[in-house]
Amino acid sequence: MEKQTIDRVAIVGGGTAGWLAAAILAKKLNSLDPDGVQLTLIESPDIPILGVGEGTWPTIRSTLQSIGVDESEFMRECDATFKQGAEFVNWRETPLKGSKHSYFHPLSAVFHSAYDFNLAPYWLLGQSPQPYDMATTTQSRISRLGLAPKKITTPSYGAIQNYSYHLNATKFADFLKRHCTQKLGVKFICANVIEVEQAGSGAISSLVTDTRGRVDADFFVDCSGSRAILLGQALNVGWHKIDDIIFNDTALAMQVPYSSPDAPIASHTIATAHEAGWTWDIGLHNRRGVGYVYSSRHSSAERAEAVLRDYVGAESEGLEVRKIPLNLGYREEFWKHNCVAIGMSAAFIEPLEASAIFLVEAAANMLADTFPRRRASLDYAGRKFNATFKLRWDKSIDFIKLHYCISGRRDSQYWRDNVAPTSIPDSLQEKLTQWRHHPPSKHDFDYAFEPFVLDSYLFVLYGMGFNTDLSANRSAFSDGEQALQKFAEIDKLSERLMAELPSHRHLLEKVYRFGFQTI
Amino acid sequence: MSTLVALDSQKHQSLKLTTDKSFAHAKTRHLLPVAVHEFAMAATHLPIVFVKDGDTGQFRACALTGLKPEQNLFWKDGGWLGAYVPESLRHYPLVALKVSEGGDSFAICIDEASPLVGRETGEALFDGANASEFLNRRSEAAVAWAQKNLITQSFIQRLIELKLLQSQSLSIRLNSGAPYELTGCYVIDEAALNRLDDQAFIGLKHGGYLAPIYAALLSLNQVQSLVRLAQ
Repeated sequence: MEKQTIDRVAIVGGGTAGWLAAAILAKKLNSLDPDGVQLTLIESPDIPILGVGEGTWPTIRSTLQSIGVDESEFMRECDATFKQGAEFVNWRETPLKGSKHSYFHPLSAVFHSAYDFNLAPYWLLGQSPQPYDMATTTQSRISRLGLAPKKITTPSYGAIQNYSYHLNATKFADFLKRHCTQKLGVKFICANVIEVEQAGSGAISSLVTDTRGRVDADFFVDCSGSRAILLGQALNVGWHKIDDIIFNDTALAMQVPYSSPDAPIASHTIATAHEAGWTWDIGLHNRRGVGYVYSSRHSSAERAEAVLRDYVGAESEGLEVRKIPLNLGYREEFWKHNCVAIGMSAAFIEPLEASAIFLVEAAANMLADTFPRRRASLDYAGRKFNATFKLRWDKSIDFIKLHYCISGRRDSQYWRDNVAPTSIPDSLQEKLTQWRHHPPSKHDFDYAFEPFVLDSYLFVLYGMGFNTDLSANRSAFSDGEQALQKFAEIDKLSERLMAELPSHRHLLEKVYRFGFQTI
Repeated sequence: MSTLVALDSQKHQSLKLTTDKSFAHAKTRHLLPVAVHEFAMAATHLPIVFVKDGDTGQFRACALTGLKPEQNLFWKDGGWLGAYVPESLRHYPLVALKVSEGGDSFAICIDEASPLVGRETGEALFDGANASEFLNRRSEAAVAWAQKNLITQSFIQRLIELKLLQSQSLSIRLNSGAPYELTGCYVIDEAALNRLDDQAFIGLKHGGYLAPIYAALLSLNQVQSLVRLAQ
């Protein structure tokens, strides 16, 4: 008879997704306790970690803190830096030769959270002379000046301005691996899975490895990346492509050294639009990670490499370019029988807005919170998981598409194709129609687990120059006094922060040398 | 602005040092470092708090001598008022700094910009190319002080590990002016101390940490002395 409880979990695949999921599960399910769920992670010695996802969301701070990681140690080991958001360069319209324009999508809206009091309509009515991102937050201004989000005297994980990290994903996976195996009771098996054994019901019963024999478990987590050897190959769950919405299918990545040891380090991701895609530019402690995400239907590989090298400039000479194919989309199901996919085995959108690691955290947290310790609960937990993640991925796709479909760029077929109505999901079109005459409000985002909420939409919409015509309902926005006061408060706080906060590099040197206090 | 440089028998050969019993260099300092060895003596005169160094973020033990930055209530009318003089004041303008982060040897440094340093008056630092007896005495004291500071750092590290420090803003209410909060101070968390398991508590006893812990706790009563001085 089949066992009635789920006591052993096998995770297939290391990398950021595997080790981060292992850490969250081991902590929340208390694997150190003999009665807790026992975790085993099987990692192939032959398959290198993809290691591109170098951006995170602020949720990573509470995740790291809860699994017992020291912030300063983590930063030093992973070349990590502070990320305060993203700057979108040349997305709004075709740039004039030699000039550029940009807007920020900061991680916090410190003073102003549009959820409580929406400044957007007042900004639309001309109450602030500044662009939307600068008018409504201090962080865009701090970040633009290259200042850090906190001071060396701020406790670890504490923030003056909200932040996440840029990190070296390969080092991060190694760091988590040590933490999981040394402190959280995760067992590690270095081997290749060569066969997946299934019971009559279709559920997975064990994994056969090449060098370490058979591994039995009651539940399986597929973190094997795009190969998806459990959910995709063994359980035959199909892949839902989204290349009719988001066209990017290839990335070229490059590591660029700093020109001098004291060169400034950007405290935000710089995402620059080009003729057939966009470049990321991420400042780690010891180097920049730069790459071009583009559509191979709209650009040849040679042309793409030329765009990337042109962006990096003379420094790119002699630097190697790594080509990474991207298969954008998601599984038709994320959880089937006793197997769930987390990471690129489940879905991959594209690195714009850096949601990949965030969605790994979200998936591992939900799996742990709703963990079916009784086998009889598998179906319910699986249905819930599938429903919420289908929604979260669809919502992510909408938000990513927003960056492209309201652009005024028409300088290439890529940009002309991106505004074609047939490429825009109905759920997004419906909202855009509404927002032509009404500013977005919290009521447009009514799902508890929306990955991108009101403030994010406002930064992108009004950073991109989206036009909302309020003339028919001007009378409804009668809190002008309060809005003016808020704009003034943001100005005042910005001044104070500018005087108080150190430069990003300055703080990093101190963190690497002294570390933060825990209190 | 302090300009610390290592003492050099060539460059500094003709320098002399005046002794200033009024400790005028401390007149605008509201925090003075104290070593764990002097907690018991300082505690009956000055509040002892823990503050983060703005440059390194590391904790230091300090006597609070003012109720706002740049205010030293213990320095008045050209002299030091208190019955207790923190040891750190007596070494100025000499400081012993570790030559390398992990090593044992110290270099003696001097604040060249100090008004106590001159060529006319005071005691000579060098006798020809050799350190004078005066300098030897002062150097030894400065090194001993630096070593006490290292012990104080271990003490603070232990407090942090045992989660015995907590942030505490001091509410200042003077007769004149609006009440305000003095922030950035950390103190020993008495409740957490009382909750310690026996083994950890005995560990503190063996480390010789109990007396300074209780001294620091009792010293907080001296905030009232500061308020009286400020009125």
